[in-house]
Amino acid sequence: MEYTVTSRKLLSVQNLSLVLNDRVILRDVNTEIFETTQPGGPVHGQVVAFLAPSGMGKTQLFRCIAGLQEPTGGAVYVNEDKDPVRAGEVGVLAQDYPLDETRTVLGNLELAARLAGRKGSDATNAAKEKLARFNLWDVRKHYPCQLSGGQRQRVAYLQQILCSKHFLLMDEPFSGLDVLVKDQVAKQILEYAAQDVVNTIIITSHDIRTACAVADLVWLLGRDHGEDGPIPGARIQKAYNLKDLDLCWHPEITATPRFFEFVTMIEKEDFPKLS
Amino acid sequence: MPGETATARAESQPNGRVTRKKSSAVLAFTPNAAMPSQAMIAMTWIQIVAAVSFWVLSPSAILPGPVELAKALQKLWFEDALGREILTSLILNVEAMAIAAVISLLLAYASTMPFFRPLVRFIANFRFLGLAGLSLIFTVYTSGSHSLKVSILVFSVSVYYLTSLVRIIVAIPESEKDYFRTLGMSEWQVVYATVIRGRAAEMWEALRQNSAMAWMMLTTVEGLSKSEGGVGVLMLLSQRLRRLDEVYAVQLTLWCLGLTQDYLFARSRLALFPWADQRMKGGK
Repeated sequence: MEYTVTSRKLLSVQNLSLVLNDRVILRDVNTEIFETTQPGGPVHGQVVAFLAPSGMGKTQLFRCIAGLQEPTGGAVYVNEDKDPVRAGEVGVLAQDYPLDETRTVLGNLELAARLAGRKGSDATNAAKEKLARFNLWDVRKHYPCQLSGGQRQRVAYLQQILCSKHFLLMDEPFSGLDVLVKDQVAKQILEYAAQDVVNTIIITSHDIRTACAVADLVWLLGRDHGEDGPIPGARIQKAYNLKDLDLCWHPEITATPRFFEFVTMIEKEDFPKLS
Repeated sequence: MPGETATARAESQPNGRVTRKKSSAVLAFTPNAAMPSQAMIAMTWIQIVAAVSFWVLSPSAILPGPVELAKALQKLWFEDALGREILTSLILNVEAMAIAAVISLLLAYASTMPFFRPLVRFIANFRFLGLAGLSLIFTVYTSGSHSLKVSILVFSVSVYYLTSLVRIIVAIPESEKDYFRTLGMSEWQVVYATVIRGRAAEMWEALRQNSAMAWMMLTTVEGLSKSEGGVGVLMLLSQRLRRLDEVYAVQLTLWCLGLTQDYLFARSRLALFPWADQRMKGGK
């Protein structure tokens, strides 16, 4: 599959550090994500995975990128803005797919459209269009507590893409799921990424296999090691471009020996060095 | 059936396994057991009949029987204008509840701002103060018996209601606020979404629970100033004259009024906050 990396910078993390309660969580995190395009439109969206063992500060990095946590040092910029990211500028899909429980499905989407600046019937039409497109029309009058897990996930996704300007962040989307559901969520992420609205998704995960199955760019977050053991504060230790390694965008890639070898290498060689 | 015990029945499953089905009598005393609805209804009726039988057959001199109570109610209604007194008490109670709700809600909403938190906590802690000592202060600072009674009731309900409201607000998880922030809401909008709109059903429920406090306080408060009348005054008068049947008749009236109010609160909750009802039902 051909692709071109454009000069449009979607995300730029510059010298980010975070100290919470005198504990160094993140240190000198630097990274950039550029938009990629494919001939004929986004057949495969861009999925970037931050991988790290548990307790490495993935969620804190996620919060910093989402604008929910102000870093102690450095900054996060989205879409080449001169000002650091603010909450609401990027879409965020938390693990439990939160929604406004006091509003119907349609009300939730209208709220997102209005917050994005659409007025009156324009907001309603935008919400209705999304509901029809994602097979949620029948549940438009339902409250979130009446939805199935899959419906809830789709509504939460639509709400975020209706009001976010740049890309979508997903925090630990595979956490606590069984293998079957994990595969379904992975498939859904790829489908979301192929949509023409927000076609870059950034996920944080400690699930190496599933994250690599959906990602085309993988970053490993972990600590440096000195003579006295690990140095406090995680930073990006390694990056893999799966597009260049020809390890993404193929159907059934996860069943190939190459993919298995790649995942095993991260599991056995890279991950032990990250903690 | 041969071999069947009084408490359990063996049932064969298609897979050949045998399970034991507990009888309702055993289930009734089994912790966390789910009772069949018909057995539950039967059990409720048995308890009602037992309570009424105890009441009718009780030899106690201080517990008038149903006939005496009915006669006392009849006398109170036709000779002592119980209907008018109920209306007086109802107006007093509703007025006090409305004022207490507004004050408590405003203070609770203000507690989202750090500046007001110590003040709100301080006011909520007034619930430990005794009413006897406070009545003098309220007498000095209020004009007229009606405003005195309203003030005391407002104070008594507000301190408890405020405590419940603050607890509801404190329990809102940070992740819920973060979710609304990710939609691009300002902090005031987040307060509206999570506290005002998001917790309206819970706050209504807290008001329902705390409104019982107003009915409990009513007789005491109405006794402080008897000029306006009310069921509390009627009850205190009957008590002074040792007309126990009338005292219980008024108590029964108060109980019925409280239950009616409670029912109306519950019904209006369903109408005002349909999402809360759906959540209670657990989905479709």
